[in-house]
Order: sequence, then structure tokens, then C-alpha cells
Amino acid sequence: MRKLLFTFVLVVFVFTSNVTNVQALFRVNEDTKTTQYVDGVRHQEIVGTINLNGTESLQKINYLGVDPSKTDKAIVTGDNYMNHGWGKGDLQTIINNVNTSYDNYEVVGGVNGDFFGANGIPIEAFIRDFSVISAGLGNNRTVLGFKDSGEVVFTRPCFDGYELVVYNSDDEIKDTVKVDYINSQPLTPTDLVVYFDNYVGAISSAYNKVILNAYETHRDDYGATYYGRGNLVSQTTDDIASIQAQSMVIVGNEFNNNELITEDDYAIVQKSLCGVWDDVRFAISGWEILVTDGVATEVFTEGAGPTYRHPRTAVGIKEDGTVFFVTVDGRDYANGFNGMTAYELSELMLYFGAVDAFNLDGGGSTTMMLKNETGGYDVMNTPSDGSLRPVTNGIFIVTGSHIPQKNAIFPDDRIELALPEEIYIGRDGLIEFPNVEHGVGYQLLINEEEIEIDTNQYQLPKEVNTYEIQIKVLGDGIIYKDSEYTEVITFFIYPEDINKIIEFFRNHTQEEASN
Amino acid sequence: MRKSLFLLLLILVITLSGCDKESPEIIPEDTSCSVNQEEIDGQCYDLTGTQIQLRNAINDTKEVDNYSMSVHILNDDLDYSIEIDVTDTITRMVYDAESRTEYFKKNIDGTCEYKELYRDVLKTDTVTCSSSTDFSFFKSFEYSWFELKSGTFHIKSDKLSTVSELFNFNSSNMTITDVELATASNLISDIVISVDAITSSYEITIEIRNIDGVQLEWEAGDVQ
Repeated sequence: MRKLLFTFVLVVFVFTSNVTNVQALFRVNEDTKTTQYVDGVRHQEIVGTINLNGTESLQKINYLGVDPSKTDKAIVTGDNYMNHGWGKGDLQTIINNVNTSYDNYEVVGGVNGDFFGANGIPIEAFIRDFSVISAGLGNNRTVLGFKDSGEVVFTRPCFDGYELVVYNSDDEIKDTVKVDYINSQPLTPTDLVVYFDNYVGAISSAYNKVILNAYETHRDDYGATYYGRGNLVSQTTDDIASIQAQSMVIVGNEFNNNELITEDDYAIVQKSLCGVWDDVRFAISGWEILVTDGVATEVFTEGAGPTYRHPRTAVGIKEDGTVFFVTVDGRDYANGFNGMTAYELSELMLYFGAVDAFNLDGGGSTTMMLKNETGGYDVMNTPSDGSLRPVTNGIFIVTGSHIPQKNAIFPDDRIELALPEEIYIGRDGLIEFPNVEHGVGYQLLINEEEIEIDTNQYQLPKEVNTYEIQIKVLGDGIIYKDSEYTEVITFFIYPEDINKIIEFFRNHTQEEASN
Repeated sequence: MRKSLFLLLLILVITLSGCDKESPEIIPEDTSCSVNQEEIDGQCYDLTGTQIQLRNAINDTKEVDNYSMSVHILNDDLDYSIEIDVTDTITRMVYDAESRTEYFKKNIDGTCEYKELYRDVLKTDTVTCSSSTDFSFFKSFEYSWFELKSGTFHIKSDKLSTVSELFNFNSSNMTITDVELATASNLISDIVISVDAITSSYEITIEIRNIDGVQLEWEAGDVQ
């Protein structure tokens, strides 16, 4: 009897324990499932039903994913912002912008990104190639950041005021300087202040004023976020009555006396990332975490209608590092596109293997595009607007790799090596020149292709062509820095017919002189 | 008497009519042609003024040893030019497109020297003098190779292979299809050579000028 009672108590205990940790019952019934690989990126389209805790709905789901750490793929963000302000663009336009803005990336596919305001301003932070285009509008939402290492950061971003980052013409960082104030008078002689063109008033102080031509600026209307990129126009200590449109003015006591910013450089003023966000290259946001550490969000207290069925876009991260995008079609019951609630979407992301997942802008914004065989891009989902909706930004899987960010030596006291002299190119296309003292090698720029050589000779290809050649000497980088490139030397490899004719005249002339 | 007078008039008319003839006078085969005649198939024909001019130009050009020559090798995609200056001891070739200038010189002791100026790099060398005694492609031209066609002189078709051999083109799968000559100041002034190659056709235009006006100095280490 005692044993029976003990068994009963045990069964009751186990049963009640399960009740307190109840698992949602979620199932995907795939009526059709097609899988394809485009440039190594997996795409699936699933048409069927889902069932969450007994509620069934018709769905069309698109999945696009890749493990960037195991392929030549990377994750980038893109947008269609105006040079000064914001803007929207449909996903095809944003893809075109990514492909034309970077030599090292080609979009394979991607989805729409963040929620946005009427003028296209993204609601949360947006980072494009280390540029903090927006720090967000103060909603403190989670942001998804991607590092060159493959690490994905999935937290609220850390900002530490503003910074001035100065790049040289090789896109190397000369220095990063803390900016104390935006659009405000310096309070102490050590303060560094940056003024944007929305500052009304004069700038009067005896401090140095470095005026930049700001060819890109983004800011909100409430002073929550400023971003500016520009190059040097002039430097003065005179008072400035007002700031010219599309200009930035950097004010600091003795600022730039060390020629931190020269005419060859460009400078970026932006929110300074800190903590784990310090080396994030691309970041995008949405609204509502769907999955955290392999657990679906149980209760949504905010977000875009979490209990309503909508078209949805989401991004997920798997344990092995795979990044994947999901779109769910909706607002079209007649065709079986019911859309999903945020709860269903969370379970779907778990179903696909997400450890972490995030809800991006949905509804009519939901778009997934994928490269096709002709090099164009196809819309893989069925946008509920019936056409592509202009959105604020997007997130993409690209073929290519990141160009590592380098730091320049500043101030640079290294000795610049002399240019190679007496460069001789024989009729056979052999380039020769005397060795340059302290050089550790040479870099040839031939028709815009860089070729590094150890010796002072290089044989041009025999192919008929016009070759534009520049040479520089490579320094050890410690005591000696590279020389500049020489001026362009043009050399022709002619068709054999021409060579024969030239040779005839050479022979004739040689013999003429020998008579 | 009337018969005698009629016979005399008839002979006179026939004689005067013969003077008006423009066709070459047929000379008996065993007679050498005169200076301004040309022998064709054993018969002498009078040369026209234009023909005499070309013949004299070809012959007189053989004696020229100080001149400049502009060479252009042309096709649809290319205009490659060589400027050549020739004196009795030094020759200079300027390849503008390559920033390259070459010099050849024959010394009194019979040795020959070579200099090349490529951009700012000067290279010198001693070269083997040619064994040829008097080679110059246009000096090898003979008047009898050319004929007048539509007012200009062109190579006769049976001499095309001779000229191709002169250019050493026969072994290069290149064929000369025409050579056109023009004269000025009793010398050859312009030569246009049409060449067919496997992949393209070329026109080589050569202008000979500055006769006896070229001055080249050869100095140690450099040529001015």
C-alpha cells in the first residue's frame, strides 16, 4: 500500500512539473517543399499548413540561409538613403546599391529590414560597413550586429557618445578622437565639438575650426543621432557667422595642428560603439525577439501586432553559425497565405533551428529576393501589396569577404622610400629597374591589377594589349614606408604582324647605318 | 610633169601624216633603245613625261644617303608611326608611342654601335655591322617594276613577289598586294605599301623628305 501511494505521489509530481513548463505543440505540414542552392546559399519554399496548439493555418514560407564561417559568404546590410537625410527603396534598389557600392560583395539574396518612419528613417540603430548611420530613435530595441569574425551580436547596442574617425586615402584609420559635444559651445579648452549644418548661430572662439565638406549626413529631428562624413575644405581660427549647408565644422583648441585631417583624408562623425559592439561592421534592427538561447518568446508585450496574422520577415541564427532569413506570406486567405502571429513565427524559427531569432518589419514590407541564373534577382515571396514596397533597409547574404580594417600609423614618422627610377621596358615586355635601397619588394599596378614581386624584374604577358603600368617600392612598414606609385608608363604589345613590319624597318635602318 | 608633182605631193602627205602619230615608233629589234625609250618585248617605246619623271626619281633616289622618313603602319585600329633620320654614318629611329629612340652608327674602324633611349634610360651596345653593301628597300626599286594606272604608279603584278621577298614577308604569312609611288623634286617622295596578313590588312605609308638636311651628332654616352 505504501508503495502504491509513493508511486501515485510520484506520478502526480511528474505530471504537475510538466504542466508548469508546458511546451507549445507546433507542427509544419509540408504539402510541397522545394529546395535549391544558389551560389551555395540554401533556399527553401514550403507550402502547407502549420499547427500551433491545435490552431491550423495555411502558409507559404520562404527560407534562405548560409553558414558564413564555412563559405565565401558574408552578411551585410544595405539601404537607399539620400546623401543628406533618409529615404526608402524597394529591395531590388537596395540590392543594386549594395552591388554598386562594394567591389568585394555581390548579393545572393536577402530580405527587408527594420521598421521605419515616414521619411524612411529606421527606428533603431543601423550600421553599414562600420559607419553608424543611425544610433536609433531611443526605443532601446535589440539590434543584430555582425562582426568580421563571424560573431553575431544580439543585444541592445552600446554607445559612448560621439567620435571622430579620420581615414586616409587608403581607407586606413589614422586616428579616432572622442567628440565631446554636437552643436554646442566647447566648455573647456580640451573639448572637441562638431557642428552640423542644422546648427543656427555663429561659432566664435579663438579655437581652430576645421571645415569639412559633408558629402553624407544623416540625423533625426530630435538630436538623438547624428552621422556625417566629409573631407577637408579649410581651417581657420576666425569666427564663423553660420554653417554652410552640407558642411560640418570641427572646433577644438589646437585641433588639427598635427595635420590629423589633410586634404587626402576623409572624416566620419558618428556615435561611438562600445563593449561587444566595438567592432561590429554591419547591424540592423527590428522589433521583438522571437527566440533567445533556443527558447521561443512566451509572451509578447509589444511589437507589430503579435497576436494578429501578418506577412512576416525574420532573421535567425543557428548554433553552428548559420544565418537564415524567413518570410511568411499573408493577407491573402484566398490563395492560402494566412500569415502568422508572432507566436507562430517564433515556433517556426525554432523549427528551422534558430538559437536566436528576431522579427523584422513585416506586412507589406515583407520581401525576399534571390539571385537568378541570369544574374538578376527574383522576388521569392508574394508581397501583400501586390508590388515591392519601398523599405528603409535590408539584410543580405553576399558572396565575397570583408576587407579588413587597418590602422594607419599616425603621426607617421617613417621614411618614405624613393620612387623607382630608370624603369626600362624592353621590346619583349620585360620590365627592369635598379633596386631601391631599403625596399623589401615592389608592387606593380598593371591595368589596375596589383602584383607584388620580390625582384626588380617582371615579364609582361605576351597577350596583345595596351598596358598601363605603375610601380612602387614596398617598405618594411616599420622604419620605411612604401613609396608613392610612379607615373603611368604605357606599353603596347602589338600583333605579330606589326612586330614583323617594325622589325623590317629596324633591320633596314641598322644596315643603313652600317654602310 | 603632173604625175611627178602628184607623186611628190602624195609622198609629202604620207610623210606629214606620219609626224602626227602619237603611238610609239617601232624601232627595229636590233636597235638599242634611246635614253627616253623603254624596251618592251624587244621593242622600244617612247616614254611619256610622267614616266621619265618616275624613272629619273627612282634612279636619283638610289644616290640619296641623307634623309628623313615618316613611316605609318595603319589599319582600322592602329596608326603606329616611326620617324627615321638617316645620315651616312648615323641612323635614328623614333617610336613615339613607345617613348623609345634607337640609334645606329658605323665607325671608321668598321665596327658598329647601338644606343637605345627608352624614356630616361640609355642603353648602349656594340652590334655586328651588316654585311650588305647598299641595302635600302626603296633603292632596290627599278623603274621597270612599275606601271601607270589611273594617273599613279603601281607595282606590276608580276613584281609583287619580288617586293615581298625584299621585305622578307614571304615567311611571315604576309603578302604585299600593292606598292604605289609618288615623286616630288625628282625624287621618290611617297610610298604606300598595302599588306595582307592573316588577321588584318595594313597600309604602310612612307614619306621621304628633308633630303640632305639631316644632322645627327653621336656623343659619348648620349646622342643629341
